[in-house]
Amino acid sequence: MTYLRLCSLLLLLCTTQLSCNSLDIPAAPDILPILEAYGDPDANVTGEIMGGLAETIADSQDGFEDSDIYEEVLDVIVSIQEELDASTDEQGDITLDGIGTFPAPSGAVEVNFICTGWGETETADSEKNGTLDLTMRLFGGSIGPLIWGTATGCQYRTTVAGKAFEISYDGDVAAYFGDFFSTTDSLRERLTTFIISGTIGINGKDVPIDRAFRVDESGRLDILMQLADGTSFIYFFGGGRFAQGIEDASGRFGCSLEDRQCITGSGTSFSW
Amino acid sequence: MHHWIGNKLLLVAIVCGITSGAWGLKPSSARAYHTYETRLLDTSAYSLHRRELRLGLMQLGYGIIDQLQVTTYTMPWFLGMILEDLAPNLEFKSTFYDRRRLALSASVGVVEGQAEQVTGDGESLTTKKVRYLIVPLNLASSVRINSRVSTHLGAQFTGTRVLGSKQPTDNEIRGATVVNLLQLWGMFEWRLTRVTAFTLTVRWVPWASDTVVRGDLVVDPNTGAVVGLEVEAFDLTNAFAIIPGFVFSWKRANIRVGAGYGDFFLEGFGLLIPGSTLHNISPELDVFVRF
Repeated sequence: MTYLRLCSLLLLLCTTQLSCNSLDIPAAPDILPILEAYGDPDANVTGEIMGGLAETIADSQDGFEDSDIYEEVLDVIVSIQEELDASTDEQGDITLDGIGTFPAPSGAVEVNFICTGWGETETADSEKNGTLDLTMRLFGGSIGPLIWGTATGCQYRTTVAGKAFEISYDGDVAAYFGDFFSTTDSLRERLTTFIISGTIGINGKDVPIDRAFRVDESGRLDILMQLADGTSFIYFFGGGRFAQGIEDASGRFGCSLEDRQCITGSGTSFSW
Repeated sequence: MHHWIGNKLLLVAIVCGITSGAWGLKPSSARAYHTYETRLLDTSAYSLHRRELRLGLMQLGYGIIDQLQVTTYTMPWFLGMILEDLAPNLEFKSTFYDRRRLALSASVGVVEGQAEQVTGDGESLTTKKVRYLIVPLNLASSVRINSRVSTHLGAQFTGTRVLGSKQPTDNEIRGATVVNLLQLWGMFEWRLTRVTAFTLTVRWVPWASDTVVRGDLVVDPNTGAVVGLEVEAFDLTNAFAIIPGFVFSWKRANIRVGAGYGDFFLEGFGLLIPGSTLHNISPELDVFVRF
Protein backbone atom coordinates (compact mmCIF):
# COMPACT_ATOMS: atom_id res chain seq x y z
CA MET A 1 0.00 0.00 0.00
CA THR A 2 3.05 2.25 0.17
CA TYR A 3 2.71 3.26 -3.44
CA LEU A 4 -0.92 4.22 -2.90
CA ARG A 5 0.18 6.57 -0.13
CA LEU A 6 2.79 7.98 -2.48
CA CYS A 7 0.11 8.54 -5.12
CA SER A 8 -2.07 10.29 -2.52
CA LEU A 9 0.79 12.60 -1.62
CA LEU A 10 1.40 13.41 -5.27
CA LEU A 11 -2.32 14.06 -5.72
CA LEU A 12 -2.26 16.45 -2.77
CA LEU A 13 0.73 18.22 -4.31
CA CYS A 14 -1.17 18.56 -7.58
CA THR A 15 -4.30 20.00 -6.06
CA THR A 16 -2.42 22.54 -3.98
CA GLN A 17 -0.17 23.66 -6.81
CA LEU A 18 -2.69 23.74 -9.61
CA SER A 19 -5.93 24.81 -8.04
CA CYS A 20 -6.03 28.40 -9.29
CA ASN A 21 -7.39 27.79 -12.75
CA SER A 22 -10.11 30.39 -12.82
CA LEU A 23 -10.65 33.90 -11.53
CA ASP A 24 -12.87 32.52 -8.78
CA ILE A 25 -13.63 35.91 -7.25
CA PRO A 26 -16.21 36.75 -4.59
CA ALA A 27 -19.66 37.70 -5.90
CA ALA A 28 -20.18 41.42 -6.34
CA PRO A 29 -22.95 43.03 -4.28
CA ASP A 30 -26.07 44.24 -6.08
CA ILE A 31 -25.88 48.00 -5.66
CA LEU A 32 -28.37 48.88 -8.39
CA PRO A 33 -31.26 49.59 -5.94
CA ILE A 34 -28.99 51.99 -4.05
CA LEU A 35 -27.92 53.80 -7.21
CA GLU A 36 -31.57 54.06 -8.30
CA ALA A 37 -32.54 55.42 -4.88
CA TYR A 38 -29.81 58.07 -5.12
CA GLY A 39 -31.02 58.96 -8.61
CA ASP A 40 -34.68 59.26 -7.63
CA PRO A 41 -35.30 59.93 -3.92
CA ASP A 42 -39.07 59.37 -3.71
CA ALA A 43 -39.99 59.83 -0.04
CA ASN A 44 -41.91 62.86 1.22
CA VAL A 45 -40.05 63.72 4.42
CA THR A 46 -42.06 65.07 7.34
CA GLY A 47 -41.24 66.19 10.86
CA GLU A 48 -42.47 62.83 12.12
CA ILE A 49 -40.06 60.95 9.83
CA MET A 50 -37.16 63.15 10.85
CA GLY A 51 -38.06 62.72 14.51
CA GLY A 52 -37.39 59.02 14.12
CA LEU A 53 -34.27 59.33 11.99
CA ALA A 54 -32.38 62.46 13.06
CA GLU A 55 -30.27 60.62 15.62
CA THR A 56 -29.45 57.85 13.13
CA ILE A 57 -28.38 60.43 10.58
CA ALA A 58 -26.14 62.19 13.11
CA ASP A 59 -24.62 58.89 14.25
CA SER A 60 -24.02 57.83 10.66
CA GLN A 61 -22.30 61.10 9.87
CA ASP A 62 -20.14 60.87 12.99
CA GLY A 63 -19.28 57.23 12.39
CA PHE A 64 -18.42 57.87 8.76
CA GLU A 65 -16.32 60.98 9.38
CA ASP A 66 -14.62 59.96 12.64
CA SER A 67 -13.72 56.50 11.35
CA ASP A 68 -12.33 57.96 8.11
CA ILE A 69 -13.15 54.56 6.67
CA TYR A 70 -13.73 55.90 3.18
CA GLU A 71 -10.24 57.42 3.07
CA GLU A 72 -8.77 54.21 4.48
CA VAL A 73 -10.33 52.12 1.71
CA LEU A 74 -9.63 54.72 -0.98
CA ASP A 75 -5.93 54.84 -0.03
CA VAL A 76 -5.66 51.10 -0.60
CA ILE A 77 -7.44 51.31 -3.95
CA VAL A 78 -5.27 54.21 -5.12
CA SER A 79 -2.04 52.43 -4.11
CA ILE A 80 -3.04 49.41 -6.20
CA GLN A 81 -4.08 51.68 -9.05
CA GLU A 82 -0.64 53.33 -8.99
CA GLU A 83 1.12 49.96 -8.93
CA LEU A 84 -0.92 48.74 -11.89
CA ASP A 85 -0.04 51.94 -13.70
CA ALA A 86 3.67 51.17 -13.23
CA SER A 87 3.12 47.90 -15.13
CA THR A 88 0.90 49.39 -17.83
CA ASP A 89 2.06 51.11 -21.00
CA GLU A 90 0.43 54.01 -22.83
CA GLN A 91 -1.89 51.67 -24.77
CA GLY A 92 -3.20 50.12 -21.56
CA ASP A 93 -1.29 46.86 -22.09
CA ILE A 94 -0.13 45.23 -18.88
CA THR A 95 3.19 43.41 -18.52
CA LEU A 96 3.69 40.49 -16.15
CA ASP A 97 7.38 39.74 -15.64
CA GLY A 98 8.52 36.56 -17.31
CA ILE A 99 5.10 35.80 -18.80
CA GLY A 100 4.49 38.55 -21.31
CA THR A 101 2.51 41.63 -22.22
CA PHE A 102 -1.28 41.43 -22.36
CA PRO A 103 -3.13 43.92 -24.52
CA ALA A 104 -6.36 45.37 -23.14
CA PRO A 105 -6.46 42.83 -20.32
CA SER A 106 -9.64 41.60 -18.68
CA GLY A 107 -9.67 39.88 -15.31
CA ALA A 108 -9.59 40.77 -11.67
CA VAL A 109 -7.33 42.12 -8.99
CA GLU A 110 -7.72 40.65 -5.53
CA VAL A 111 -6.26 42.99 -2.97
CA ASN A 112 -5.12 41.92 0.46
CA PHE A 113 -4.41 44.79 2.80
CA ILE A 114 -3.11 44.19 6.31
CA CYS A 115 -4.60 46.95 8.43
CA THR A 116 -2.06 49.23 10.05
CA GLY A 117 -3.09 48.74 13.71
CA TRP A 118 -3.55 51.07 16.65
CA GLY A 119 0.13 51.59 17.46
CA GLU A 120 2.01 54.84 17.02
CA THR A 121 3.81 53.25 14.08
CA GLU A 122 2.10 51.15 11.42
CA THR A 123 2.65 47.41 11.57
CA ALA A 124 1.88 44.54 9.16
CA ASP A 125 0.54 41.95 11.59
CA SER A 126 -2.59 40.46 10.05
CA GLU A 127 -3.42 38.40 13.16
CA LYS A 128 -3.45 41.44 15.41
CA ASN A 129 -4.50 44.24 13.06
CA GLY A 130 -6.98 42.39 10.84
CA THR A 131 -7.32 42.62 7.07
CA LEU A 132 -9.21 44.34 4.30
CA ASP A 133 -9.78 42.22 1.19
CA LEU A 134 -10.99 43.97 -1.95
CA THR A 135 -11.85 42.82 -5.46
CA MET A 136 -11.38 44.99 -8.55
CA ARG A 137 -12.40 43.93 -12.06
CA LEU A 138 -10.47 44.72 -15.22
CA PHE A 139 -12.37 45.10 -18.48
CA GLY A 140 -10.34 45.56 -21.64
CA GLY A 141 -7.64 47.48 -19.83
CA SER A 142 -10.02 49.63 -17.76
CA ILE A 143 -10.86 49.16 -14.10
CA GLY A 144 -14.53 48.44 -13.36
CA PRO A 145 -16.44 51.14 -11.45
CA LEU A 146 -17.43 48.83 -8.59
CA ILE A 147 -14.82 47.66 -6.06
CA TRP A 148 -16.00 45.50 -3.20
CA GLY A 149 -14.76 43.39 -0.35
CA THR A 150 -14.70 42.58 3.34
CA ALA A 151 -12.92 43.93 6.39
CA THR A 152 -12.09 41.38 9.06
CA GLY A 153 -11.25 42.88 12.44
CA CYS A 154 -9.53 45.73 10.63
CA GLN A 155 -7.84 48.06 13.14
CA TYR A 156 -6.26 51.38 12.28
CA ARG A 157 -5.56 54.74 13.82
CA THR A 158 -6.86 58.00 12.47
CA THR A 159 -6.73 61.64 13.41
CA VAL A 160 -9.70 63.92 12.76
CA ALA A 161 -9.48 67.61 13.68
CA GLY A 162 -6.40 66.96 15.81
CA LYS A 163 -8.09 64.18 17.76
CA ALA A 164 -6.79 60.60 17.53
CA PHE A 165 -9.22 57.70 17.19
CA GLU A 166 -8.66 53.95 17.47
CA ILE A 167 -10.92 52.54 14.78
CA SER A 168 -12.00 48.99 14.03
CA TYR A 169 -14.27 47.72 11.28
CA ASP A 170 -15.81 44.34 10.67
CA GLY A 171 -18.07 43.98 7.67
CA ASP A 172 -18.61 44.48 3.95
CA VAL A 173 -17.53 47.47 1.92
CA ALA A 174 -18.24 48.54 -1.65
CA ALA A 175 -17.19 51.63 -3.57
CA TYR A 176 -18.83 52.66 -6.83
CA PHE A 177 -16.93 55.26 -8.87
CA GLY A 178 -19.63 55.94 -11.48
CA ASP A 179 -17.75 54.81 -14.58
CA PHE A 180 -14.81 52.72 -15.74
CA PHE A 181 -11.48 54.33 -15.01
CA SER A 182 -7.89 53.96 -16.12
CA THR A 183 -4.79 53.52 -13.98
CA THR A 184 -4.10 57.24 -14.31
CA ASP A 185 -7.55 58.67 -13.47
CA SER A 186 -7.87 60.49 -10.18
CA LEU A 187 -10.48 58.71 -8.08
CA ARG A 188 -10.56 61.42 -5.43
CA GLU A 189 -12.15 63.80 -7.94
CA ARG A 190 -15.03 61.43 -8.57
CA LEU A 191 -18.46 61.40 -7.00
CA THR A 192 -18.30 58.05 -5.22
CA THR A 193 -20.99 55.90 -3.67
CA PHE A 194 -19.61 54.09 -0.65
CA ILE A 195 -21.58 51.31 1.02
CA ILE A 196 -20.71 49.77 4.36
CA SER A 197 -22.51 47.06 6.25
CA GLY A 198 -21.00 45.93 9.52
CA THR A 199 -19.78 47.30 12.84
CA ILE A 200 -17.53 50.29 13.27
CA GLY A 201 -15.68 50.59 16.57
CA ILE A 202 -14.57 54.09 17.58
CA ASN A 203 -12.37 54.24 20.66
CA GLY A 204 -13.92 51.03 21.95
CA LYS A 205 -17.55 51.94 21.23
CA ASP A 206 -19.16 49.66 18.63
CA VAL A 207 -21.68 51.18 16.23
CA PRO A 208 -23.63 48.88 13.88
CA ILE A 209 -23.94 50.48 10.48
CA ASP A 210 -25.64 49.46 7.25
CA ARG A 211 -25.73 52.49 5.02
CA ALA A 212 -24.77 54.09 1.72
CA PHE A 213 -22.81 57.34 1.54
CA ARG A 214 -22.00 59.47 -1.48
CA VAL A 215 -18.92 61.64 -1.33
CA ASP A 216 -16.73 63.84 -3.47
CA GLU A 217 -13.53 65.77 -2.93
CA SER A 218 -15.37 69.01 -2.01
CA GLY A 219 -16.43 67.43 1.27
CA ARG A 220 -19.99 66.77 0.16
CA LEU A 221 -21.60 63.86 1.98
CA ASP A 222 -24.97 62.38 0.93
CA ILE A 223 -26.41 59.81 3.31
CA LEU A 224 -29.09 57.59 1.79
CA MET A 225 -31.98 56.98 4.16
CA GLN A 226 -34.33 54.17 3.18
CA LEU A 227 -37.73 54.05 4.86
CA ALA A 228 -39.79 51.04 5.85
CA ASP A 229 -42.33 51.73 3.07
CA GLY A 230 -39.60 51.27 0.42
CA THR A 231 -39.18 54.97 -0.35
CA SER A 232 -35.96 56.85 0.28
CA PHE A 233 -34.43 60.30 0.67
CA ILE A 234 -30.98 61.82 0.88
CA TYR A 235 -29.71 63.76 3.85
CA PHE A 236 -26.79 65.84 2.63
CA PHE A 237 -23.99 67.80 4.23
CA GLY A 238 -22.35 70.46 2.05
CA GLY A 239 -22.27 70.42 -1.72
CA GLY A 240 -24.57 73.35 -2.47
CA ARG A 241 -26.16 76.48 -1.07
CA PHE A 242 -27.25 74.64 2.07
CA ALA A 243 -24.78 73.49 4.74
CA GLN A 244 -27.04 70.49 5.25
CA GLY A 245 -30.48 69.42 4.16
CA ILE A 246 -32.76 66.92 2.49
CA GLU A 247 -33.34 65.87 -1.10
CA ASP A 248 -36.65 64.05 -1.43
CA ALA A 249 -39.58 63.79 -3.85
CA SER A 250 -40.27 67.53 -3.47
CA GLY A 251 -36.69 68.65 -4.22
CA ARG A 252 -33.78 69.98 -2.14
CA PHE A 253 -34.20 72.08 0.98
CA GLY A 254 -32.15 73.06 3.98
CA CYS A 255 -32.30 71.52 7.44
CA SER A 256 -30.40 71.64 10.69
CA LEU A 257 -30.01 68.57 12.84
CA GLU A 258 -28.82 70.80 15.67
CA ASP A 259 -31.92 73.06 15.47
CA ARG A 260 -34.20 70.07 14.69
CA GLN A 261 -35.81 71.98 11.84
CA CYS A 262 -36.16 72.03 8.04
CA ILE A 263 -37.40 74.78 5.74
CA THR A 264 -38.85 73.42 2.49
CA GLY A 265 -38.50 75.00 -0.95
CA SER A 266 -41.98 76.55 -0.70
CA GLY A 267 -40.95 78.36 2.47
CA THR A 268 -42.86 76.21 4.91
CA SER A 269 -41.00 74.60 7.75
CA PHE A 270 -41.31 71.55 9.89
CA SER A 271 -39.56 70.53 13.04
CA TRP A 272 -39.30 67.51 15.27
CA MET B 1 -13.76 24.57 -43.79
CA HIS B 2 -15.81 21.75 -42.21
CA HIS B 3 -16.20 20.17 -45.64
CA TRP B 4 -12.41 20.22 -46.08
CA ILE B 5 -11.84 18.67 -42.65
CA GLY B 6 -14.50 16.06 -43.40
CA ASN B 7 -12.74 15.06 -46.61
CA LYS B 8 -9.42 14.76 -44.77
CA LEU B 9 -10.98 12.57 -42.10
CA LEU B 10 -12.60 10.39 -44.73
CA LEU B 11 -9.25 10.03 -46.50
CA VAL B 12 -7.55 9.04 -43.23
CA ALA B 13 -10.26 6.46 -42.55
CA ILE B 14 -10.00 4.97 -46.05
CA VAL B 15 -6.20 4.73 -45.86
CA CYS B 16 -6.49 3.09 -42.46
CA GLY B 17 -9.09 0.66 -43.64
CA ILE B 18 -7.17 -0.41 -46.75
CA THR B 19 -3.87 -0.69 -44.88
CA SER B 20 -5.28 -2.62 -41.97
CA GLY B 21 -7.32 -4.81 -44.26
CA ALA B 22 -4.24 -5.71 -46.28
CA TRP B 23 -2.34 -6.58 -43.13
CA GLY B 24 -5.22 -8.63 -41.86
CA LEU B 25 -5.30 -10.76 -45.03
CA LYS B 26 -1.69 -11.84 -44.52
CA PRO B 27 -1.46 -15.25 -42.89
CA SER B 28 -0.19 -14.99 -39.35
CA SER B 29 1.35 -17.55 -37.11
CA ALA B 30 1.15 -17.72 -33.36
CA ARG B 31 1.63 -14.30 -31.84
CA ALA B 32 4.82 -14.83 -29.86
CA TYR B 33 5.66 -11.20 -29.37
CA HIS B 34 2.29 -9.54 -29.04
CA THR B 35 1.27 -12.14 -26.49
CA TYR B 36 -1.50 -12.52 -23.98
CA GLU B 37 0.95 -11.51 -21.30
CA THR B 38 2.82 -8.86 -23.23
CA ARG B 39 0.49 -5.99 -23.87
CA LEU B 40 0.83 -2.51 -25.29
CA LEU B 41 1.97 -0.21 -22.52
CA ASP B 42 1.12 3.16 -24.03
CA THR B 43 -2.44 4.43 -24.31
CA SER B 44 -3.63 1.41 -22.41
CA ALA B 45 -4.23 0.21 -18.85
CA TYR B 46 -1.29 -2.18 -18.88
CA SER B 47 2.03 -1.67 -17.16
CA LEU B 48 5.40 -3.40 -16.98
CA HIS B 49 5.62 -6.64 -15.05
CA ARG B 50 7.68 -6.95 -11.88
CA ARG B 51 11.38 -6.32 -12.47
CA GLU B 52 10.76 -5.66 -16.16
CA LEU B 53 12.67 -2.78 -17.70
CA ARG B 54 11.81 -0.49 -20.58
CA LEU B 55 14.53 1.58 -22.22
CA GLY B 56 13.41 3.76 -25.05
CA LEU B 57 13.61 6.93 -27.03
CA MET B 58 10.69 8.52 -25.21
CA GLN B 59 10.47 6.71 -21.88
CA LEU B 60 12.51 4.77 -19.35
CA GLY B 61 10.41 2.53 -17.14
CA TYR B 62 10.68 -0.14 -14.49
CA GLY B 63 8.13 -2.55 -13.05
CA ILE B 64 8.41 -2.28 -9.28
CA ILE B 65 5.73 -4.88 -8.78
CA ASP B 66 3.24 -6.38 -11.22
CA GLN B 67 0.75 -3.65 -10.36
CA LEU B 68 3.08 -0.67 -10.35
CA GLN B 69 5.57 0.80 -12.78
CA VAL B 70 7.63 3.91 -12.53
CA THR B 71 8.49 5.88 -15.64
CA THR B 72 10.51 8.90 -16.55
CA TYR B 73 10.01 10.66 -19.88
CA THR B 74 13.18 11.42 -21.77
CA MET B 75 12.00 14.51 -23.65
CA PRO B 76 12.06 16.82 -20.59
CA TRP B 77 15.57 15.56 -19.78
CA PHE B 78 16.76 16.24 -23.35
CA LEU B 79 15.13 19.67 -23.31
CA GLY B 80 16.63 20.27 -19.89
CA MET B 81 20.11 19.49 -21.20
CA ILE B 82 19.60 21.86 -24.15
CA LEU B 83 18.30 24.58 -21.83
CA GLU B 84 21.06 23.78 -19.33
CA ASP B 85 18.61 23.06 -16.57
CA LEU B 86 17.43 19.62 -15.51
CA ALA B 87 13.74 18.83 -15.79
CA PRO B 88 13.08 15.98 -13.38
CA ASN B 89 9.94 14.00 -14.09
CA LEU B 90 8.42 10.85 -12.73
CA GLU B 91 5.21 8.95 -13.36
CA PHE B 92 3.71 6.14 -11.35
CA LYS B 93 1.24 3.91 -13.11
CA SER B 94 -0.70 1.23 -11.35
CA THR B 95 -2.64 -1.50 -13.11
CA PHE B 96 -4.71 -2.10 -10.03
CA TYR B 97 -7.16 -4.49 -11.70
CA ASP B 98 -6.29 -7.05 -14.36
CA ARG B 99 -8.55 -10.07 -14.47
CA ARG B 100 -10.08 -11.99 -17.33
CA ARG B 101 -10.66 -9.54 -20.16
CA LEU B 102 -10.57 -6.26 -18.26
CA ALA B 103 -7.69 -4.17 -16.95
CA LEU B 104 -7.91 -0.86 -15.11
CA SER B 105 -5.14 1.55 -14.28
CA ALA B 106 -4.46 4.90 -12.67
CA SER B 107 -1.39 7.03 -13.01
CA VAL B 108 -0.01 10.27 -11.70
CA GLY B 109 3.09 12.13 -12.81
CA VAL B 110 5.03 15.27 -12.08
CA VAL B 111 7.27 17.23 -14.43
CA GLU B 112 9.12 20.23 -13.09
CA GLY B 113 11.67 22.38 -14.80
CA GLN B 114 12.99 25.77 -15.60
CA ALA B 115 14.01 27.64 -18.72
CA GLU B 116 16.39 30.55 -18.44
CA GLN B 117 17.32 33.19 -20.95
CA VAL B 118 20.20 35.56 -20.33
CA THR B 119 20.66 38.56 -22.60
CA GLY B 120 22.99 41.54 -22.61
CA ASP B 121 25.98 42.02 -20.39
CA GLY B 122 27.26 44.38 -17.74
CA GLU B 123 24.57 46.76 -16.57
CA SER B 124 22.20 45.66 -19.34
CA LEU B 125 22.33 42.01 -18.23
CA THR B 126 18.80 40.62 -18.13
CA THR B 127 17.80 37.19 -16.89
CA LYS B 128 14.37 35.76 -17.70
CA LYS B 129 13.30 32.60 -15.95
CA VAL B 130 10.23 30.48 -16.54
CA ARG B 131 9.52 27.68 -14.09
CA TYR B 132 6.90 25.08 -14.96
CA LEU B 133 5.11 22.29 -13.18
CA ILE B 134 3.01 19.74 -15.08
CA VAL B 135 0.87 17.18 -13.30
CA PRO B 136 -0.92 14.57 -15.46
CA LEU B 137 -3.49 12.25 -13.88
CA ASN B 138 -4.73 9.34 -15.95
CA LEU B 139 -7.43 6.68 -15.62
CA ALA B 140 -7.47 3.91 -18.22
CA SER B 141 -9.34 0.75 -19.04
CA SER B 142 -8.45 -1.99 -21.49
CA VAL B 143 -10.76 -4.73 -22.72
CA ARG B 144 -9.47 -7.80 -24.55
CA ILE B 145 -12.34 -8.54 -26.90
CA ASN B 146 -10.56 -11.58 -28.34
CA SER B 147 -6.97 -12.67 -28.87
CA ARG B 148 -6.54 -10.24 -31.74
CA VAL B 149 -8.62 -7.24 -30.82
CA SER B 150 -8.53 -5.00 -27.79
CA THR B 151 -10.00 -1.62 -27.01
CA HIS B 152 -8.60 0.93 -24.63
CA LEU B 153 -10.42 3.93 -23.18
CA GLY B 154 -9.23 6.56 -20.78
CA ALA B 155 -9.38 10.05 -19.41
CA GLN B 156 -6.48 12.29 -18.56
CA PHE B 157 -6.48 15.47 -16.53
CA THR B 158 -3.43 17.64 -16.86
CA GLY B 159 -2.65 20.64 -14.70
CA THR B 160 0.07 23.00 -15.83
CA ARG B 161 1.50 25.87 -13.87
CA VAL B 162 4.02 28.32 -15.28
CA LEU B 163 5.77 30.94 -13.18
CA GLY B 164 7.86 33.66 -14.78
CA SER B 165 10.31 36.14 -13.41
CA LYS B 166 12.80 38.64 -14.73
CA GLN B 167 15.86 40.34 -13.23
CA PRO B 168 16.11 43.25 -13.06
CA THR B 169 12.35 43.70 -12.98
CA ASP B 170 10.45 46.17 -15.13
CA ASN B 171 7.66 46.19 -12.61
CA GLU B 172 6.57 44.59 -9.41
CA ILE B 173 4.22 42.00 -10.88
CA ARG B 174 5.59 38.45 -11.17
CA GLY B 175 3.60 36.45 -13.70
CA ALA B 176 2.21 32.94 -13.43
CA THR B 177 -0.36 30.99 -15.37
CA VAL B 178 -2.36 27.84 -14.88
CA VAL B 179 -3.94 25.76 -17.63
CA ASN B 180 -5.94 22.64 -16.89
CA LEU B 181 -7.02 20.19 -19.58
CA LEU B 182 -9.27 17.16 -19.64
CA GLN B 183 -8.52 14.73 -22.42
CA LEU B 184 -10.56 11.66 -23.36
CA TRP B 185 -8.91 9.05 -25.48
CA GLY B 186 -9.66 5.73 -27.04
CA MET B 187 -7.51 3.24 -28.90
CA PHE B 188 -8.51 0.33 -31.04
CA GLU B 189 -5.83 -2.37 -31.24
CA TRP B 190 -5.81 -5.14 -33.82
CA ARG B 191 -3.03 -7.68 -33.67
CA LEU B 192 -2.38 -8.47 -37.31
CA THR B 193 0.62 -10.77 -36.93
CA ARG B 194 2.80 -11.84 -34.06
CA VAL B 195 4.97 -8.80 -34.79
CA THR B 196 2.55 -6.22 -36.04
CA ALA B 197 -0.39 -4.57 -34.37
CA PHE B 198 -2.51 -1.90 -35.97
CA THR B 199 -3.74 0.87 -33.71
CA LEU B 200 -6.23 3.63 -34.24
CA THR B 201 -6.10 6.28 -31.55
CA VAL B 202 -8.60 9.08 -31.06
CA ARG B 203 -7.95 11.92 -28.64
CA TRP B 204 -10.31 14.75 -27.76
CA VAL B 205 -10.28 17.62 -25.28
CA PRO B 206 -13.90 18.19 -24.14
CA TRP B 207 -12.87 20.75 -21.53
CA ALA B 208 -10.02 23.15 -21.03
CA SER B 209 -9.93 25.69 -18.26
CA ASP B 210 -9.97 29.36 -19.03
CA THR B 211 -6.38 30.38 -19.30
CA VAL B 212 -5.81 32.68 -16.37
CA VAL B 213 -2.51 34.47 -16.05
CA ARG B 214 -1.71 35.57 -12.53
CA GLY B 215 0.67 38.14 -11.24
CA ASP B 216 1.67 38.75 -7.64
CA LEU B 217 1.87 42.39 -6.81
CA VAL B 218 3.52 43.75 -3.68
CA VAL B 219 3.03 47.44 -2.95
CA ASP B 220 4.41 47.60 0.59
CA PRO B 221 4.53 45.33 3.64
CA ASN B 222 0.82 45.95 4.26
CA THR B 223 -0.52 45.87 0.72
CA GLY B 224 -0.41 43.04 -1.78
CA ALA B 225 -2.60 41.82 -4.60
CA VAL B 226 -3.04 39.04 -7.09
CA VAL B 227 -3.76 40.15 -10.64
CA GLY B 228 -5.68 37.54 -12.64
CA LEU B 229 -6.01 38.07 -16.39
CA GLU B 230 -8.26 36.04 -18.66
CA VAL B 231 -6.43 35.16 -21.86
CA GLU B 232 -8.59 34.19 -24.80
CA ALA B 233 -5.73 33.32 -27.13
CA PHE B 234 -5.39 29.70 -26.07
CA ASP B 235 -8.77 28.03 -26.38
CA LEU B 236 -7.92 24.34 -26.42
CA THR B 237 -11.45 23.03 -26.01
CA ASN B 238 -12.41 20.49 -28.68
CA ALA B 239 -8.84 19.91 -29.77
CA PHE B 240 -8.65 16.41 -31.25
CA ALA B 241 -6.48 13.96 -33.14
CA ILE B 242 -7.18 10.76 -35.07
CA ILE B 243 -4.00 8.72 -35.44
CA PRO B 244 -3.67 5.40 -37.24
CA GLY B 245 -0.44 3.64 -36.45
CA PHE B 246 1.43 0.42 -35.99
CA VAL B 247 3.31 -1.18 -33.15
CA PHE B 248 6.00 -3.63 -34.16
CA SER B 249 7.05 -5.92 -31.36
CA TRP B 250 9.90 -8.41 -31.43
CA LYS B 251 11.45 -10.38 -28.61
CA ARG B 252 12.79 -7.27 -26.96
CA ALA B 253 12.63 -4.40 -29.43
CA ASN B 254 9.48 -2.43 -30.08
CA ILE B 255 8.69 0.35 -32.50
CA ARG B 256 5.58 2.45 -32.39
CA VAL B 257 4.91 4.67 -35.35
CA GLY B 258 1.86 6.54 -36.56
CA ALA B 259 0.70 9.70 -38.21
CA GLY B 260 -2.75 11.18 -38.14
CA TYR B 261 -4.78 14.30 -38.45
CA GLY B 262 -5.46 16.93 -35.84
CA ASP B 263 -3.66 18.51 -32.92
CA PHE B 264 -0.38 17.11 -31.64
CA PHE B 265 -0.79 15.49 -28.20
CA LEU B 266 2.32 14.98 -26.13
CA GLU B 267 1.62 11.60 -24.69
CA GLY B 268 2.33 11.18 -21.05
CA PHE B 269 2.09 14.85 -20.27
CA GLY B 270 -1.43 15.37 -21.61
CA LEU B 271 -0.32 18.58 -23.23
CA LEU B 272 -0.98 19.48 -26.83
CA ILE B 273 0.31 21.66 -29.59
CA PRO B 274 -2.38 23.23 -31.80
CA GLY B 275 -2.67 21.46 -35.14
CA SER B 276 -2.02 24.63 -37.11
CA THR B 277 1.58 24.59 -35.81
CA LEU B 278 2.35 21.25 -37.50
CA HIS B 279 0.00 21.53 -40.49
CA ASN B 280 -2.52 19.32 -38.65
CA ILE B 281 -0.19 16.34 -38.73
CA SER B 282 -0.30 14.44 -35.47
CA PRO B 283 2.63 12.01 -35.22
CA GLU B 284 3.37 9.08 -32.90
CA LEU B 285 6.84 7.61 -32.52
CA ASP B 286 8.70 5.52 -29.99
CA VAL B 287 11.46 2.96 -30.12
CA PHE B 288 12.20 0.92 -27.05
CA VAL B 289 13.47 -2.37 -25.71
CA ARG B 290 11.67 -4.27 -23.01
CA PHE B 291 13.27 -7.03 -21.00
